[in-house]
Amino acid sequence: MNNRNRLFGIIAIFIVGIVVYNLPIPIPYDQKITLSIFTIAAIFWMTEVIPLYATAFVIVLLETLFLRDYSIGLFFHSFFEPVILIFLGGFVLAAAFQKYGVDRIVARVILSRTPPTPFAVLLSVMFITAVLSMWMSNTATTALMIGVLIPVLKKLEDARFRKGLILSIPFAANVGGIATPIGTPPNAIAIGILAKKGIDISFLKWMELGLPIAIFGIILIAILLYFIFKPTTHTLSLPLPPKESVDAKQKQVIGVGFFTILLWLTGPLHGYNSAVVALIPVVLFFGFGYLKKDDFNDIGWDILILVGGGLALGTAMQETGLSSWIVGQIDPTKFGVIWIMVIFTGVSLIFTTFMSNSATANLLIPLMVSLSWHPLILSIMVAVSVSFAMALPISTPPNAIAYGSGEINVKDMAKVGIIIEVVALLFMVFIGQHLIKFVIGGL
Amino acid sequence: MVSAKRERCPHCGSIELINNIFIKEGEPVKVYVQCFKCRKFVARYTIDYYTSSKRYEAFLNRVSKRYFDSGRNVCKRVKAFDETIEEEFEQCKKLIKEREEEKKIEEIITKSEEGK
Repeated sequence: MNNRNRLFGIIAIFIVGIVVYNLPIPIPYDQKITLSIFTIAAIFWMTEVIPLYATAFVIVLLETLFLRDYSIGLFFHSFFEPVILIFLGGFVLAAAFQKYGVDRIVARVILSRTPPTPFAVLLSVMFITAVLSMWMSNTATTALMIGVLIPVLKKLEDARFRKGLILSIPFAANVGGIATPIGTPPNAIAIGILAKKGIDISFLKWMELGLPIAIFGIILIAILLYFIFKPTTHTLSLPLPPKESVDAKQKQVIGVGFFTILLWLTGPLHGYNSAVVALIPVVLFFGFGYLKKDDFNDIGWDILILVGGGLALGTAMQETGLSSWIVGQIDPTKFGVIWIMVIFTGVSLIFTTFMSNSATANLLIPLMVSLSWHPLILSIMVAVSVSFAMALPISTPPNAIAYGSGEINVKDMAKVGIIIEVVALLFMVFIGQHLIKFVIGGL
Repeated sequence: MVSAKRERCPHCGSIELINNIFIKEGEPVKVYVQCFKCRKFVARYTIDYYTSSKRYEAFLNRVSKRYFDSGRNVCKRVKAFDETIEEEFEQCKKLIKEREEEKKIEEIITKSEEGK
């Protein structure tokens, strides 16, 4: 998009915001302003006229300009919430794992134990991808694993199964991210917005919930891919990444990683917030020179800002009472709980098939937490569902990377992606809600 | 404005050059260019980005270090990565054939660094 079109787009979006503000809706000034900001942010995030993180700044700028009865700190604090620090800690761990090749060591260890059959290889590749994407960015994991697979793909003559193998990587990366709070930004957005409502979800609690869902997703997708892209060969072996001896620095990085994860998982025992624990790898890796200034600059600051922007929007919606007003317009007795869950999960899946997962979570979760019925369950259902949307190359960055290989076309991706989305919707509505109730509580 | 130039040995004027790649832990990779004919030092380049003829693999390396949240944005990058390199390479060869840039390489690079 050239600058002129971008400028027209920006002006048009602000005009829509002004129109929304002037609609004859019987709500107070603060709520009208917030509704207008919500609309502007939603269109910016859907159209990507400006970068996603820049929209986060637009939100906080408009909030501080027009919601002057509130302290500016209320909105600025969103960019330094505990969940942002947890994410920062995750980024730093991932940067160290990548820099010192820990990710390759993990991939090698698992691949070396994989039986030489197509299904075992498929499952193993998906398993490694999911495990890595629990702690690293889904994009980095996808890039690493496709890189590992390229030599196999070049030799594999079975073009149909080759497609299945390529698709398995982005799909596993998307689903693997569900398992931990730091796996993907929508998890952090849900945790952050629920925390503002006084509902704290610890690292371990999220994993108790996210891990079984991710495992279910991996098994489902592996079976789907195996049968849709059925291999013609009975044996398939993977060449292993070159063997490297683990040096002292790698051992130290693995040690810090294990220690941090252990502290995250044992939060209820020692009582320290996960955000405090997240500072340990930040201090150790940067303090002792394991990571340098360039690594610091490469951290996903734009993602942190995007999550912060979502939290700032959620804060305004809750503080002004706009989210309560919006959900008050929906009468649950008309639909029934199951249909409400189907509608919201379905909307999340459809939105995020075409736009960023985090942006979708930023828009929908603030509404979910204000529902008078099952706000916790619906918030988490939305956060988890967005990671299951993977029908198109534009649905997620891992999908786009795999599509860039030229080995698959949109139809291949959509064929499996749509089935995954439908099964995910049914799973979340009929099983997921009970799992959330069982692990976290029935609110 | 677009222009292109072929690097030459400052000592003997040869365009036959050798790229010697120097790797030191914790520092960016450097390429020491040597004249194939007179074997003298020609120039040193410090690598920021590198793209080989295996373009997709180079793309994977580049995205693995970055965080993305928009599939649409990555799709655009994939397309740009795939198209621009081949196009620019052809344009570069054509420009050198038609009218080579007259400025010295050090002048061109200094100017481009100032423009960053």
